[in-house]
Amino acid sequence: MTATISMSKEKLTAPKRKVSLRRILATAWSWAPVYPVAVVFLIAVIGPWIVPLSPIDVAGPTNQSPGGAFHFGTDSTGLDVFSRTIAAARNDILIATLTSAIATTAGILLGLLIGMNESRRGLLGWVARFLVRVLDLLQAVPAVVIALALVAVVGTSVISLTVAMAIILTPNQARMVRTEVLKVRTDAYIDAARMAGERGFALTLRHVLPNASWPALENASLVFGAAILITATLGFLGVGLHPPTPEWGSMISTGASDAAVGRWWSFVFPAIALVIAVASFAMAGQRLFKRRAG
Amino acid sequence: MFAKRVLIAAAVAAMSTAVISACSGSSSSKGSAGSGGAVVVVTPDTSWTWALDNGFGGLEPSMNVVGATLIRNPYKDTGTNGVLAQNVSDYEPYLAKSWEVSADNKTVTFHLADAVSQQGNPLTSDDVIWSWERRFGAPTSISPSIQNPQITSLDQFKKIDDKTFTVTLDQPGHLSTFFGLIANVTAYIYDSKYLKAHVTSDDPYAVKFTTTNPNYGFGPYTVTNFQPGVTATLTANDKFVLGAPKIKTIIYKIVPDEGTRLNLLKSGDADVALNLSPSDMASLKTTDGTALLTAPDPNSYIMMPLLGNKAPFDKTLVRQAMAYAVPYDQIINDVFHGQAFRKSSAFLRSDAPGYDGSGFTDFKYDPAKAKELLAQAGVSLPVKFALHVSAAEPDMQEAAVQIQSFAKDAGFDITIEQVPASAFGEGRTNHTFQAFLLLDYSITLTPSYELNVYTALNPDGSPAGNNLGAWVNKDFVAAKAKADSTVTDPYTPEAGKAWNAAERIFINEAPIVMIAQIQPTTAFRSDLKGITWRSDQWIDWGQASKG
Repeated sequence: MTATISMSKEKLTAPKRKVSLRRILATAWSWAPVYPVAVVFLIAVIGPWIVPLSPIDVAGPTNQSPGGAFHFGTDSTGLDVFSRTIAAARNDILIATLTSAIATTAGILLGLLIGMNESRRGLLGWVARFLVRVLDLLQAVPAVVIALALVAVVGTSVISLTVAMAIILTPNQARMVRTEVLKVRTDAYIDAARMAGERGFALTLRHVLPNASWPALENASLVFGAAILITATLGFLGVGLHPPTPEWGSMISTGASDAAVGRWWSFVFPAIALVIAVASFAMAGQRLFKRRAG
Repeated sequence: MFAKRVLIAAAVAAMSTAVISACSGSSSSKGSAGSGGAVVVVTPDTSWTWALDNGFGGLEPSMNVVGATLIRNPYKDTGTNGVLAQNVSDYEPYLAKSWEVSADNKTVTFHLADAVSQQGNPLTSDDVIWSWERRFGAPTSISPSIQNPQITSLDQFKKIDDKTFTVTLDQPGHLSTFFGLIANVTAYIYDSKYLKAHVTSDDPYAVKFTTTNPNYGFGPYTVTNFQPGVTATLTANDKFVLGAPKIKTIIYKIVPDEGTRLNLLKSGDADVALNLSPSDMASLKTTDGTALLTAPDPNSYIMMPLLGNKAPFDKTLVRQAMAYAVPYDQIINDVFHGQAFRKSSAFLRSDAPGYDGSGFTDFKYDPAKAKELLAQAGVSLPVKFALHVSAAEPDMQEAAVQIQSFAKDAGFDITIEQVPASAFGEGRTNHTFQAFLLLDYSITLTPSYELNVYTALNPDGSPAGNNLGAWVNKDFVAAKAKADSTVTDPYTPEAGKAWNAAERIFINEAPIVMIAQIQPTTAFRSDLKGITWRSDQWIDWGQASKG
């Protein structure tokens, strides 16, 4: 006697998940920290084209309080504070984005170079140890002092300010990566890769870099915020971009004395914009570069 | 999460601070300024020093301490807020009780008063002669350049006896400016006996000694407390030759922020506020209990030198075009809020007796005229240049923005370069800028001095450091020399004509655009009387009283 077992020929596939509104909203909510920065970026890009008045030409009487044609009032020169606050986003965001990108990239590369070679003998070891001392020196001097010195030599422009701040902010990124490299290079998978025949540059690029660069990437948003604040500080010290180029720091600087006598608008509005930009980038950075545990 | 909380907390703190500082106004209660008869003066940190003949520092602050001169300009009541103003066309005795001028107008004989220094030493001719020896001998002294060509050598001074000496000039035309010079800040008389006791081989004129020992003259006050960058206290000198001042104590306090200085004055916590912004000055016009220091004919100018040693202002037509591209009314009304005015393009005092103001180009904002001149000059539009301003002068930055905005229609493309004060001073002296804006004043108000101070040449014919426009014009030099050599009294119609010939060249060639005359930036509580306007912009506390 024989028994026959028949089975239906249905394919074995994973059940389809239903795309529900709840799921969409939950996903959207999880990305909420990124939305403010998207708005800030949008304003930075289109701001100068949508402002009602020229941000660099005299628009009306001086020290007008907010209202009427001047939503945020006018400053002591007769420039429109609303137009300047919006237009300033481009300069500050541009400088901060470039600074963050350069400092993070350079920091990762330097951190890798130092971390992989500082204990070696030979030329690479000497170079790595020399770079460590250079980083120590840059971090020992206050950031604003370095920025002032660099700007005094090369003059003020978006490029010179970006370069100055990238020099100031790279050492910290490099240190973070170096510390991570020192941990990562002793991990078991690195040994396994070596035993599999990987060496030198290929090993660093394929195994160390992806695992050691996370601290710098997580920190990039704070570098962004720091760049905006240093630009603002230089503007406050009177060595920022050429006047009347709109930039939050210089606006806060010139508006601070007016605020003390009740003319608050030329100080408060750029200060609010500055706080929103820095805070939103910090939140976005935490969301984007948060490492998954395990 | 921790970092996020820190950021949010910092943002809230920053916003709270901003709102609180923005909403803070003056206190409603009257302050305690000047209790016990003292007067409190709030001033920005101007790096005070008492050492004279040590660069440009110390000249004005020392006016009330070391600053007694042989003669001085008398004061006259302006009829406004009890303010006294110098009559710069006249002189009265001070440390010299009398003087005679020789028939050839080249030698002046001075007779000294019975004055006693702050250290108790009697005034003698030796003090006068040693004071000038120090001015010529100290390597850091600026007096030789400022007093040239009227006083160039110690040989001009001759002692007759302890109370009598003479000064001989090279030419009679130097007489009027000589009097102007010895009545002002670079001609204070020092207590030579006191200073000579403190000379060293390193400090042969006791210049360094006087940085910390300010009481070395014959002025109305002594310094009884000095904390650099913080405060200075002046106490009335009972031995002062013209009688002890009525106000016994002046307390200067350094308050860097001009808004704070304004609030202190409004609340009564300060009696006098210096270096206020024009908008703050304008706001005080409607504030009870305060008054503005208003000068009948202020000597402070906002000026825009256009340097002739490089393009584009090496061409006279381009400079003249720029003079037509300046929005004078907007600067006067929107930057200086009516605390400035412009009578004409001219520079010399128009209220001086005998003044001739004919033949000047009347530069007004006229972009069409500016473009016409640029076309004649054959330059392509827009004409691009950098306009430098000092980061320490916010009013100049605001004026620069106005000029940049309005000059576009006149064919100029201006980039504003804001530089730190030290770099600005260097660029100004070394003539490295294309154009710059500054607020400045000539202290000695005689035609010869005023026309020379901003156009002086080095012995080799090159522009001197203070030749703001780096301008060399042979016709101007000749006209000045002719007036200098032929005019002894600058306040006659003949003198007016002679100086007009020189001033006309200066104004029409436009090496410096004289934008407007600026009123003093000092305000005070209205219970103070006898506040003085002086050409050195300082207050002579010997004239003031309270209540």
